[in-house]
Amino acid sequence: MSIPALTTKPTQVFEFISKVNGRDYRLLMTAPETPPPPGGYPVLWALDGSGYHGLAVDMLRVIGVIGGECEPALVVAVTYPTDDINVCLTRRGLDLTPTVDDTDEMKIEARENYTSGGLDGFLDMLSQEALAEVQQRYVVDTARMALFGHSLGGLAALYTLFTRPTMFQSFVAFSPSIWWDHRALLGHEAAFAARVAAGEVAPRVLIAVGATEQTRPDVILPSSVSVSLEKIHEVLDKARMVDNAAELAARLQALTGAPGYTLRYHCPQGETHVTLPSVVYAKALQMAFPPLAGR
Amino acid sequence: MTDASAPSAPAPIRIRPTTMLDFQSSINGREYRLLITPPPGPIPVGGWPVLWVLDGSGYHGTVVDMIRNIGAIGGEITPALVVAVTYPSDDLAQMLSRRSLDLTPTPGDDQHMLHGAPGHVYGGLDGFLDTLEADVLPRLQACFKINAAQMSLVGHSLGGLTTLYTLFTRTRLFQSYIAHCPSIWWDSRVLLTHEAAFAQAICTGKFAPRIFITIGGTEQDPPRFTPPGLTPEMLARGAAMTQMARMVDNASELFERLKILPGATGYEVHYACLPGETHMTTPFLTLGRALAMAFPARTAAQP
Repeated sequence: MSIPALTTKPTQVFEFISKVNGRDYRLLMTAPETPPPPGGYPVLWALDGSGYHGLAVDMLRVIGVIGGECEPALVVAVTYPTDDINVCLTRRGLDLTPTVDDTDEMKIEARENYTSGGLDGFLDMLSQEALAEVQQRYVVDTARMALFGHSLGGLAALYTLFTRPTMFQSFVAFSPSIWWDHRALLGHEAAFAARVAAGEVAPRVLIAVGATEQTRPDVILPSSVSVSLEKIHEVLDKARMVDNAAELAARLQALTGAPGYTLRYHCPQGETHVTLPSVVYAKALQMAFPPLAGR
Repeated sequence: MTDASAPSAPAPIRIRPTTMLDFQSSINGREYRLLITPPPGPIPVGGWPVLWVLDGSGYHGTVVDMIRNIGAIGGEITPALVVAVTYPSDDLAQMLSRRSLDLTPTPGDDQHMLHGAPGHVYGGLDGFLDTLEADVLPRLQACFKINAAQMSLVGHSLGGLTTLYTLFTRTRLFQSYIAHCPSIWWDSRVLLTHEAAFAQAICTGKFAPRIFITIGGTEQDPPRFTPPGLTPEMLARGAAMTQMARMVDNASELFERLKILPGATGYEVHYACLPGETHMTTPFLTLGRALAMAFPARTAAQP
């Protein structure tokens, strides 16, 4: 057999209560089949970990380990110690939003007790606690880490980019909720742009949105039956999912950064808010973890 | 700790655990592993639709996540139970060797040596399908409430060949067939010797399956990436393989022939050739569209 034996590594699960923010978390950690490179494994941090752990691990194995089209990376999926999707959805509302917005203006889900504004405490937990847990178990290259997030997780990825641009090397924002709290995110854009222009930071950034994401639907899907079509249309119009993403990407693309600064934007036709990540995931992997021969 | 304990918390939508079942086939004597994951949410009247996944160790996590995200949360597809078929091993090389046997309809000749894998044996597909039909399906029906009239088969590469071979020779088994980057070239396109009988069955309205064929736009170009561990000799053989395999042409030609068949209501043939994409990226990029074909959403108006 000319292909070396490549053994699938088991996923390690670690649950803890954060000393930083007092909330409980679950980490799902899966190393690639290949041994760590000299500087340690690059790391993919996946927000909404219970929805993307399997996808990230499979794609890195098939495209990376077997195909050689990206570098294999350690996956760290961040989620919650529960098997209830509704609890995950409520918890992410707090962890992935930078400010408190408790109005009903943009609400289209029957979710009560939806607290928000806990993102800074969540990021402190990642950098001060979760990373140490990962490093106890694996040899990782902290200079080559990527943050992947979808929807509110995309907002979280962009907020991290703007306020902590050296925490990761790559930032991937799928269908980011830029609209959150009257686009509070963009209050941090100018300071980030100045740091890029000064050559102080040079991250790689991918922003993607499905082309249909601000198209008014003509039917209500079972997931939103509790609200009227009119309300859904009103919220979609205000969210400006495609316009907000395209405009931000264009502004960031226009920045002249130091070598390495990268801004990619994808708006695939026909894709929706929930199909978009799977369609762009491979491109994000290839940006964050380019194939070894191509580096 | 969490808001779940609050009185007005929404009803739970539980993620169901994955059942891992290792067994020796009573049909072909070979060993298999099934990874079975029912989707979150209530069981539909009539039982779960089922997605059968070939090369299960490479795609189980992906399909489970996508069914959760697009189906259980997004409501854009009907959530399905996943049955991923793989092997009781954690060694990728062993799995690649096992799939060579299970996912090829004939022993073939030397033209299959893409990865230069001596020791691989080929031609066990009928025994594999007999196992799925006569051994696995009854076990599944005994343990889970499934709807055997709403089943889909998805496979990639040799698994795509398998999907098309199953479509042609056992059309009754599944309602939809998803063939990612199918290895139609196998053994001088021996697959196509079964096409005429299938076409006949479609034209007479005996069956009306839904079919999705995908291919990466670069699949018959010279390779841009070099998989690890290949020698120059193997690379040269790979280049010859690429020419012989006609991956894009074979897939598009088959699609063109199938789509013009005058089938009964419900017969559908879809095709996606993704510009710039490869043999490895294509299955992931097209899975969302394929799931939408296999398991269309029930809208609120038609529950």
